[in-house]
Amino acid sequence: MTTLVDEIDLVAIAANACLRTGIPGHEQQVAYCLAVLHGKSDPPRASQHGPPARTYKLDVGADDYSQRLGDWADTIAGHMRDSGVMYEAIHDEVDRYEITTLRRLIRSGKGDDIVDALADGLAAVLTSGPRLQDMTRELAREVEPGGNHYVFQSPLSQWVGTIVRRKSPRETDPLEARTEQCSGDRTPGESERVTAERDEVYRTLVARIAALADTRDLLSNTIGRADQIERSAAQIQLASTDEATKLQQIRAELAYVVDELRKEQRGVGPMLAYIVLAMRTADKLQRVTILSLRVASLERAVVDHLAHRMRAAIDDPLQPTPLLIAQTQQAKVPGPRSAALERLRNAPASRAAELRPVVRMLDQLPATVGDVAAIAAALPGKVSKGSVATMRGDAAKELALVDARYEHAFRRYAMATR
Amino acid sequence: MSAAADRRALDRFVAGLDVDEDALATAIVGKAVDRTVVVEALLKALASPQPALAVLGAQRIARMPDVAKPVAAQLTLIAAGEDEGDERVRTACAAALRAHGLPVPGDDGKRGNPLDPKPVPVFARLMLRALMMRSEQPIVSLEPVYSEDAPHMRGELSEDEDDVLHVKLTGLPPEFHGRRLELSVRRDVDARELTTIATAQARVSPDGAVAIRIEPELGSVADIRRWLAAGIELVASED
Repeated sequence: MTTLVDEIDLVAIAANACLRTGIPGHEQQVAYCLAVLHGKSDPPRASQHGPPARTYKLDVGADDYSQRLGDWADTIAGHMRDSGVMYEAIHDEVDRYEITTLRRLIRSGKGDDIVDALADGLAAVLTSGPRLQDMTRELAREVEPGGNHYVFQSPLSQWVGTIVRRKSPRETDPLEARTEQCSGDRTPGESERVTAERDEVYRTLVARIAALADTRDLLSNTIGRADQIERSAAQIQLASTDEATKLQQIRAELAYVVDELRKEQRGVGPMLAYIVLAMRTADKLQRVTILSLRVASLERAVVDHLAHRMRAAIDDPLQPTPLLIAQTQQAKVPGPRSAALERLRNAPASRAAELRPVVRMLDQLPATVGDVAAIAAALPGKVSKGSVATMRGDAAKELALVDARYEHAFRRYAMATR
Repeated sequence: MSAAADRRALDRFVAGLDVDEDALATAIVGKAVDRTVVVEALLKALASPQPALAVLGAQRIARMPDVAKPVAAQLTLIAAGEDEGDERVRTACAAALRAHGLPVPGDDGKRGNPLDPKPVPVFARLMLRALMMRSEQPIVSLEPVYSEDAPHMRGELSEDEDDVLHVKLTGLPPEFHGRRLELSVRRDVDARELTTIATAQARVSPDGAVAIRIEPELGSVADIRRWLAAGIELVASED
């Protein structure tokens, strides 16, 4: 690998391919992929269209070597152009514990239980490979190419499809199929009963979690009931050991997710109070922060509700709470923020006058905005999109300094990254 | 259920709007499943036989918003491996632990454990309001001023057999658990500051319950009721 990367000017070959395919500036990435591809084992493989044949045929010293290297550079650059965004989206989502794009790629009409199992393996493969920005000559020198490395040698969706086909029959039969296998010596009536019980288990799981929102039940109770659900599942022989383990892991994550959502929910009120009461000492930042919570990508009911809660914080004589003041005093935020809150607390008589400009501003700002450009256009004076994006990021950082929950809630609505 | 529908349900839930129960449950389960998948993937990345890729995995974990417990445990195991494995991987795992504020084996001569509880947050204050009852017991019912601050909290002021008053609270949020609470009230309706009138003898239990005794010499039942009606705040002490 070292020899190849050092002796052949892969970057120059990659640069030409990038120009030809319309992705100039990606030569480091294409060069990395070429280097890894070069190191992959390339035995003859069975083909539907003829006798077994090798795939890459990159033999140093062969007459057609340069031609093949150039062709593969073009192929890789082309797939990087077509699948690069999706590939990066998968990496971005994994950073947020999400697999939305991956799920979309491997939806093939089979049951979700299969999708989940496959996504497990696929996510592992993808996270074992570097992001585009990490694809460098230095890394190429260190990496030992494995058979599962994806280096844009084929379209991402096709590569994922190949993995799915290879893994499905052996490791991830659909739940329905497994149930049929388990019930091989059962009478038809028993099979129907098992199916009904299986459906009931999953309905119950969903219903129990739904009850959280309705009854404000204690989390421990819900988790306790999840135990019962698992036991029920085991009794009716639905799950393999692997599935039972998976269900246990999901249960642990379920507890975490519910806890985090609750924390976030509790952070929304104080976050909005901080935005309208403390951030008024930075007019432009405050406007950007408020407008970021009025983006059209959010459901209108959510936008209106957040706006309503901002007004409620202004009208509520108990705001700012002692907790919010204490948090602001302790946080390393600009000093005027804390002073602004203390003034409201210490001089309730002048509260209305103090907050009148904020009320006016809330009324004057558009009820919804399309995007960052629309936020920039709604601000007084000339403000660039870049400045708005920077201010939005600054707002998130400031909220994080006061309370992590406020940042989480802000990012959820303003940046859709929760 | 689509990702967009899941997102809508969670957005509504966090904002405090009504949410279709099934939609919310589906979204929450989906999120938990996704996390499980990603955690598995991260563990596999850390276990990569190729040090360069394991390092990338650790660097990814370092910039993620949080670290799941199984991943933290694996990072610790690798960071603690003194004579085995690749030094770069150990260093990257230690850096990932530090990035999430988790103890690193060998730092300061102590071997850390990511499963240890994180330091207790400094801020734990809760504003309560009193609801005066017509019946004899409880004398006063207590609830949070902002229900989202303590959605499960129930509280009351009641009198025991010796005519001593107690504030009994259950369902306090996690930031109060294991801490000692002070009860502050507004002794004068016009007073700006609240006055601490009692400190719980026992710490808040792991399920969020505590009882705070109010010494009889502080005032009559009528006084206490009046003070509570004017304003109440619970503050976790700094110990």
